[in-house]
Amino acid sequence: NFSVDIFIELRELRVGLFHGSTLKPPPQNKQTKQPQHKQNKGTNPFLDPRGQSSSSIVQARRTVQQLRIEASIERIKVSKASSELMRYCGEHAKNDPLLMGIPASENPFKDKKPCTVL
Amino acid sequence: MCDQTFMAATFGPCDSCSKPSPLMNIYIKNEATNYCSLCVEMMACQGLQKGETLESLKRESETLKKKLEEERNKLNDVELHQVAEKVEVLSALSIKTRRVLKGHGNKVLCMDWCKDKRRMVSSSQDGKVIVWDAFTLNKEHGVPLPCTWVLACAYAPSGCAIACGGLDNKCSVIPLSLDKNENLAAKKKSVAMHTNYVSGCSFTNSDMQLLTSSGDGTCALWDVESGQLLQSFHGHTADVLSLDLAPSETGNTFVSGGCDMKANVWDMRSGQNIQSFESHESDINCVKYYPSGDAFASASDDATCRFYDLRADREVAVYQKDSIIFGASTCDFSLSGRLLFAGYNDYTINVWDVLKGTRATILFGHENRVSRVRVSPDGTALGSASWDSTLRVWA
Repeated sequence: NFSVDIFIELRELRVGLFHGSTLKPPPQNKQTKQPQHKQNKGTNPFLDPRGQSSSSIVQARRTVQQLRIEASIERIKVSKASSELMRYCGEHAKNDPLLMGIPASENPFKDKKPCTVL
Repeated sequence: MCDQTFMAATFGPCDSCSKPSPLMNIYIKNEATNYCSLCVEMMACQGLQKGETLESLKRESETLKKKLEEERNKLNDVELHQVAEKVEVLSALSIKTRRVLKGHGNKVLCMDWCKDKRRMVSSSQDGKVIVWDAFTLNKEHGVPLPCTWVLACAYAPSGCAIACGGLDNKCSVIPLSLDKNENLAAKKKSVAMHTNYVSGCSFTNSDMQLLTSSGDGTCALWDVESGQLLQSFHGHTADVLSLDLAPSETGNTFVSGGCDMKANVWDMRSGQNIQSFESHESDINCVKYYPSGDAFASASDDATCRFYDLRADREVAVYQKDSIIFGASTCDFSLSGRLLFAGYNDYTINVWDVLKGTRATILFGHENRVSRVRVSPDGTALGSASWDSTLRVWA
């Protein structure tokens, strides 16, 4: 519906702090055969329970509150975080069947060698 | 001064001033209410501090965003793959297709393992949900659902029930019985009700609570027995496509990813969005926690998978290659977290070395998009679902 699209575009431009998300063209590699549910996204405002409140002040306050929470969390250095991730991997690597490869006798999915009964 | 126009889906008496007018559907403390636009503005202005205007709020949000950027960058002293240089290189992986499960009539959209490490549930575009025994290839249950595109399915921790949902905007729980002749479709119970499609569902640590994500931009926590909404999670500005619960040792959080290119971490008890990550360049199709619970990975239509550390509060690795141009629709970690299996729309599954950032191997076999990959609970096998209407078990 052509006129509904124009209306939505104008509304989105008007609503202040929407992270600058005006209608973007899809990236180059996007498949033309989208799964059916994704084609419906963002085009029918009647399905949006939040009503996309045009009250810019409500939106702005919410954004500021959210950013305040995010800015206040405690962070550690990437070097420390990385070494902890590595340590976890190292500790559990020997128990990881897909990583280490386990013999057919222990893996119910691998075919066992046929055995002959004498 | 004229009112900003807005799309009104309802008209009637306002919940606040009782005057009949076009109503805006808003949430106050998780309760859905309908206010006329004048009452919305008045309510918004009530809490304003002296001198707080739209302009000042906008400025504050810009400064806060800049501050967040600076804080995150200060801690970025080294890259993960640099720290990981001292880790041993992976030995060659020999992972092959060990089982092909045929039986769905159309694209398989989702699958999940049972905790008994041998059963799997899968759901398809043809509206069927099938429970398989992956060892014997037996179909134990088949439930036809009235809607097509069953986008999400999950096994309950006890193994006694499954949940599924999709374009019907609902997520239903179906108790599984040992009696093969029983009509399971009749015992189906609708638990979750959204206003748009259900894209993902997961039981929490028990059979009693169900977490769902939806195209309406929200996630929700439901009580299975009563169908009551326990908590809703608002913050995404577009469809939410995926969610994952933190591994049980680390507490009550979950991560969600959506079409707004953001991955958000939520506190299940308060409904609060704790952290947010925005570095993808397109829709995030899948999010999955690292086994330790301190990090998570995401797969996106921008053909990359990214790895985010929660305590450093930033992206620490990007898994991409020039030769990979098709979107990634799903990802999962191996038991130790060293390998990341990611299914792509070019029909392959790429296996990434999480620490070093390189690709370890590619798994070929599917004849259409890979829609879901899941490592079995004991890590012995990888299950994958595809639009070629089959499931494969790799080991």
